[in-house]
Amino acid sequence: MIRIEKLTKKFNNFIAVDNLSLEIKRGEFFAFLGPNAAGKTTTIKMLTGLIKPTSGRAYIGGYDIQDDYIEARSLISYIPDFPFLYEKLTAKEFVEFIGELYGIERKKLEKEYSMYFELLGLTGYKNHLIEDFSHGMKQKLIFTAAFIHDPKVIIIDEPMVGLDPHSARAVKDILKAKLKKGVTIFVSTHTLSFAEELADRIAIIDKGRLVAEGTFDTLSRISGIKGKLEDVFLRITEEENRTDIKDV
Amino acid sequence: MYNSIAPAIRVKIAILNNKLRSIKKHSTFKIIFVSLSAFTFLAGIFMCSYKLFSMLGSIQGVGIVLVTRILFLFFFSLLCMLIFSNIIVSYSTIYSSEEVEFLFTTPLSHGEVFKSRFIESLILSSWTFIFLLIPFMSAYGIVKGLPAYFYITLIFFFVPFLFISAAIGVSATILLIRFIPGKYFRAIFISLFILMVAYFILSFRLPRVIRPQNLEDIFMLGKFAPYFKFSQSPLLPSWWVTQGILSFNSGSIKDTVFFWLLLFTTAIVAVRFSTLLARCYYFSGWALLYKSSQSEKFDFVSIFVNKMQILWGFLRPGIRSLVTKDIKVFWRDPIQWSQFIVFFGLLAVYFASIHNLSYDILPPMWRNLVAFLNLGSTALTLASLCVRFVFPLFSLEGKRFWILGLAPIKLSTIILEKFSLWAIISLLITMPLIILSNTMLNVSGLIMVVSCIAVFLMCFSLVGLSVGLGAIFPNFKDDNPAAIVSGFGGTLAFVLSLLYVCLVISLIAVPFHLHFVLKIISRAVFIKQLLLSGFIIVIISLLSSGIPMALAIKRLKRMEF
Repeated sequence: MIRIEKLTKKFNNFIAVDNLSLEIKRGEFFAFLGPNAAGKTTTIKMLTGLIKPTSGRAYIGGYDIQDDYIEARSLISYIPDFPFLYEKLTAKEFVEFIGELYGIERKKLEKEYSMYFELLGLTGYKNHLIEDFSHGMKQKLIFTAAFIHDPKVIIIDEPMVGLDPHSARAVKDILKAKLKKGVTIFVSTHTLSFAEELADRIAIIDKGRLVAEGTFDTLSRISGIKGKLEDVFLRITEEENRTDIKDV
Repeated sequence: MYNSIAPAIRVKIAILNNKLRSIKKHSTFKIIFVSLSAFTFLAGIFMCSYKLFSMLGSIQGVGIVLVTRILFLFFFSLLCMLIFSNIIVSYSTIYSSEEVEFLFTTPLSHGEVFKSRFIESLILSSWTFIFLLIPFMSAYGIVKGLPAYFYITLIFFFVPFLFISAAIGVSATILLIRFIPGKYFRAIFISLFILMVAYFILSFRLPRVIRPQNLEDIFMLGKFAPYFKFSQSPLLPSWWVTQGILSFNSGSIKDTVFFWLLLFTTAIVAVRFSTLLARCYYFSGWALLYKSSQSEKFDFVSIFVNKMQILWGFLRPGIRSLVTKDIKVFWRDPIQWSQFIVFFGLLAVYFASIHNLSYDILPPMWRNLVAFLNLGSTALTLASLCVRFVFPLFSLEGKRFWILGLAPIKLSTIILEKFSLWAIISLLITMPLIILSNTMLNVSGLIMVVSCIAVFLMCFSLVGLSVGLGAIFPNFKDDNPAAIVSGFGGTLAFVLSLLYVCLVISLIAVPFHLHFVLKIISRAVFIKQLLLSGFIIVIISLLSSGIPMALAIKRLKRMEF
C-alpha cells in the first residue's frame, strides 16, 4: 500500500533522509521510530507530498505522491504532531468542511462524525469554537476528521500527545478496527509502549538512515536484548559518546 | 474525484459568520466605541474630501482640471497601494500560512489551493481601501451632484480594478518567491523597494527654477504637476477607471462602457496570467520556502543584531536579552519588517512632496498652516507607527508569555523594556524626520525648536500609551499584528493617540496663530502663552504615558499564566 524507493532529502549540505526504502502492506500497522531530528517528520512530509524528495519516489496505493498527488492524497489521512485547525470554526463545522473536501455525502458524513464524536467524547462540544479547545480536544477532533472519509492509509505523527487515558484507549480501539478493515497505518512516535502494543512491524531511523526494520522479535534479535521496545530502541540508537548520567 | 474550491470558500464564510456572532460576547460599550470610531473615521474622510472637492471646484478656470487631476492621483495612488498590499498579504496568505500546508494534504489540486488563497488574499488586501474609496467617491458624487446609479457604476469599475491589482501583486510574489533564493529574499526585497522609492522621489522633484507667482500656481505646479506623468499614463488601469468615471460624469455612455470593458477584459487576462504562473511555480515556490526554513542559512539579522548589541550592552543581562530577543523576532517576521519598510517608503514619498512646496514664498497664514501641518503629519506618522507596531508587542508574546512570566525578572521590567526600546526607535525615526522636513520647508528657528521639543515629548507619550494599552487589552489568540490592532484596544489606542496629537498641536499652534497671523498679542504675551502651553503639554504627556503604563503593570501583577 505504501512503497518508498530510495528516498533522499537534502537541505543544502544537511542530509535529513538518506536513501530510505520501505514497503508497507495493506492492513499493516507500521511504527516509524527514531531519536529527535532523525528524519521522521521529513519522511512523513515526503510521504504526504508536502515536500519533494531530492531523489527517490514514494507511492501510495500505487499512485506516485508527486505525479498523481490528487489520487494519492484522496487515499491518505494525515495527522500532524501540531495540527492546523481553523480556530474560528466549531468542531462540527470543521468536520463538515473536511467531509466536503473529500466529497462525502451529507447523511453519511453526519452519521460518521456523530459516531466518532461519541467515541471520543466530543459530542457535547461539537458547537464550540475550536479556539476554546485544549490540545487534547483538538487532537481528538483531528482524529475524527481523519477517520470520517474512510482513508486507505492513515499517517500519524505523534498520535498520543495530549490525549487523556480514555481517549487514548478509544483511539487505539478505533485504529485496531481500521486495521481489521484493511487500512494501513503508518505511525511516527516516541511513545514506545504504543508502538510495542500495536505495531506489526517497526522501523528505526537515525540521522536519516534506516538502522533497523522488522517485527519486534526481529529487532530484539538484532539488538541482542530481550525486554521492552524501549531497551531495544535505546540499544539500536545508542551513541558512542553519550554523556554519562553521572556527569549531569 | 471531488475537486472544488467551494468547501474552502464556504469554510471562510462560516469563519466570518462565527467572528460576527462572537462580537455579541463583547460589552456594549466596546461595540459602540468601535462602531463610533469607524463612523468618525469615515465621516472625517468624507468631510475632508468634500471640502477639497468644493474648494477646488470653486476655483475659476483651473478648478475642474484640478478635480480631474485629483481623481487621477487618487486612483493611481490606490493602484500602487493595492499592489503593495497584495504583495505583502499574498506572501502570508498564499505561502507562509499554516493553512496552506494543511490544504496541500487534501485532495485539492495545487491550482485549486492557489485559487482559494488568491481570493482570500484579494479580500484581505483590499477591504481597508474600500473604506477609503466609499467616503472619497461619495464626496465627489455629492459635490458633482451625480445620480444614485453613479455609485452602482462605481462598483462595476472598482471590482475589476481590485482583481487587476491583486493579480499583479500576487504574480510578483509568485515570481519573487520562486526565483529569488530565500536567504537573499529580505535583502533583495528591501533593495528593490528602496530603488523604487528613490526613482519616485527623483521623478517627483520639481525643478526649483520654476517660481510660481500665486497660490493657484503653487497648487498647480508645486504640488501636483510632478505626479502627472505617472498618474496620467493611458496604460494604467487607474487611468481607465478615472476616464470611465469622467465619461459617466459627462454623459458619454459609449466611453463609459468602453473603459469598463477595458478593465473587465484586463482583469480576466491578469487573473488568468497569475493562475498560469501559479500552475508553473506555486508549489515549487512553496516547497523552496519550506526548504529555506529548514536549512541553516546566512542570517543577516543575527549577525547585525549581535554586532549592534554593544549599544545596549550596558543593560542588565535580563533586560539586554529581552531587547535582543525583541529586535530579532521583529526583523525575522516578514509581515512586520515588510510593513515597516513600506511605512518608510511612504515617508520618503512625503519628503518628495514637501520638497516641492514653495514654503518660503507663501503668505504668513499659509506658512503657519504648512509648518503645523508638517508637525501634525510627523506626529500622526509617529502615532500610527506606535499603534501599528508597538501596541501588538505585548499580545505577540502570546502563548509564549509564560516564559517571561516565570523568568526571574520583574513584570514591570518587561513593560519598561518595551517602552524604552520603542521610545528610542521612535526618536531615531521622528527626530530626523521633523528636522529634515522643517529644513526642507525652511521654517523659522523658533518653529524648528518648538516642533523638535514637541516631537521629543510625543515619542515618549505615544509609545507609553501604546505599550500600556497593549498590555491592558492583550489579544493572545491572534498571531497577526494587524488583527491585534483592529480590536477594541487598538482602536482605543489610535483614538487616544489622535486626540493627544490634536491637543498638543492646538496648544502650540494657537499662540503662533494669535501672534504671527492675527497679530493680536504682543511678543511678550506670545512667549508667556507658549511657555504655559509647554507646561500643559508636559503634564498631558506624563499622564498619557504614565497612567496606561501604571495600569498595565498593575494588571500584569494580577495576571495568571
